Amino acid sequence: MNDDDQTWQDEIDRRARHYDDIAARDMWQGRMTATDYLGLLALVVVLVAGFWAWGN
Amino acid sequence: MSNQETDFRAAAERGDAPLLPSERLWGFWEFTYANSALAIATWAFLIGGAVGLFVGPKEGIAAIIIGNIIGVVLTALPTCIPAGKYGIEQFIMLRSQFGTNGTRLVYFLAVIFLTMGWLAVLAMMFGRSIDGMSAMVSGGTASPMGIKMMIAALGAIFLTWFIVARGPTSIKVFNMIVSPALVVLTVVMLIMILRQHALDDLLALPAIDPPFEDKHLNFIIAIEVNLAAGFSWWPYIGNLARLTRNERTAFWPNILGIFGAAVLGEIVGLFGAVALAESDPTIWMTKVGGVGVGVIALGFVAFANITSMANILYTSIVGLRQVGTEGIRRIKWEVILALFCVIPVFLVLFYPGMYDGFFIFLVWTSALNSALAGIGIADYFFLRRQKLDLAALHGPLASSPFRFVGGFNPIGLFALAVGFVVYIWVFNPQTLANAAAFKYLTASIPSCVAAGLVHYVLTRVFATAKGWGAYPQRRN
Repeated sequence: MNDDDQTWQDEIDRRARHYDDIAARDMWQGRMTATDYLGLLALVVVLVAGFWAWGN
Repeated sequence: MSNQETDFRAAAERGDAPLLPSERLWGFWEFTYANSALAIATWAFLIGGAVGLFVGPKEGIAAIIIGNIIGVVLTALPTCIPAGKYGIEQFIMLRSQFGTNGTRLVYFLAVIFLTMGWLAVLAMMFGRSIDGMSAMVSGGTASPMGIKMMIAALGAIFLTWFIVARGPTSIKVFNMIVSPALVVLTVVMLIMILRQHALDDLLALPAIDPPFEDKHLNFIIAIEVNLAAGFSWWPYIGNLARLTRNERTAFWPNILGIFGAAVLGEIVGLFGAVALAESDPTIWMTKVGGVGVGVIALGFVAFANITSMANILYTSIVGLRQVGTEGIRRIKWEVILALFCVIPVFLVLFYPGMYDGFFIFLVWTSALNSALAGIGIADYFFLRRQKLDLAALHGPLASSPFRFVGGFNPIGLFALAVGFVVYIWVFNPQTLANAAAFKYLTASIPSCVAAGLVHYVLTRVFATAKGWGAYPQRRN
């Protein structure tokens, strides 16, 4: 591995560590929560069932 | 910022490394705008027109909404959520599902195939717009499969090559003009159609050319076409979402942007097609508003097609260089662009009928895209529990846990094949032949579920024992 490769690998590791730190502290901002997924499910069910009944 | 930091950041923006949250600039509305700009393209008119072949406007609107919401959500979950969380390039993340070389294979099957087909279809649409415009101006008759159309379509491919060869700045200029103008064109067309037909009368119109007497079966085919449209975003949206700040910002704008804009464009395409009894937008646009409006609309559609072609060609070649071998990366930018255009040129010259049956091509792509979405959901949400090993994904292949077997994950690829076979078994896009289950389940949904299940079960049974893929141990 030459110096450039090693420097690049160090940069990848630095960026990966940044996310490992966020995960370790559980500090994810704007994370999709159970409320998001339930809201999404409700939206899909309402649209599919509603338009199925209207259009079919 | 030092030169080295600038270089690292540029490399991260190109996708070589994960973007850090501070480097990601798009908030909710920026991503919604970018999404809408991608979705409100001329292909929405084409898809809406295709829906009108199978069902009338009322069933068509229902099919457009049902198909798109399911397709867009199932596509955005495995692509946008991880991209929004980690800022990772979509096809580097895919190494965790298919291995480094397996990802290259998937890229060739899903992205190259899809993009080349769309390039040919949009070039033919450009050709037909020019042909229709010249016929309107001269008072002659349009010849949609004639030599004039072909020359214009080849010109469109050449022009696209020229624009993309000049780099992303020229594409950005086209995008800034075309996206808002397409919204205006869509609304103007809608107003003109509604001036000529009362909404109730419009909703009661029949389908243009329903293939079966069974109305329910035609309705399900219309839903399938729209599921395919929703799943067809799979190659593109992950790499847009990585520019957003977090998971929520990466996911929810798809519902407003991609879903909302595509539905609007498709409904106008459906109304125009059914009201004028002609599924081709380059023909019904000439009938809806007279010569003046028709010439402006067709001129604009031709211009907008070049923009869409430039967008998908640029995105695909950037991705190809990302997943490609050293040999591919060494090919000059202009040359690789030209090589990519060879098959679209061939399709324009020898298969111009592809345009009229373009929905067949679209539905074929869903046989792969729906399975890819299923595998992505199973892998990221259920097997990896939303955790990725970023260092390993970006590291050298020789020591990578994503090496699998010679760089291919046989489980992921087998699951993809199963999803494809299930799709074709349930519904053959070429002949429209279908199994009894199609009327109740569609084809994309069983394909998505089957591929996801096979990937989940085989990974649990075999991958952990063989030490493949660095999957977390199962909780007891």
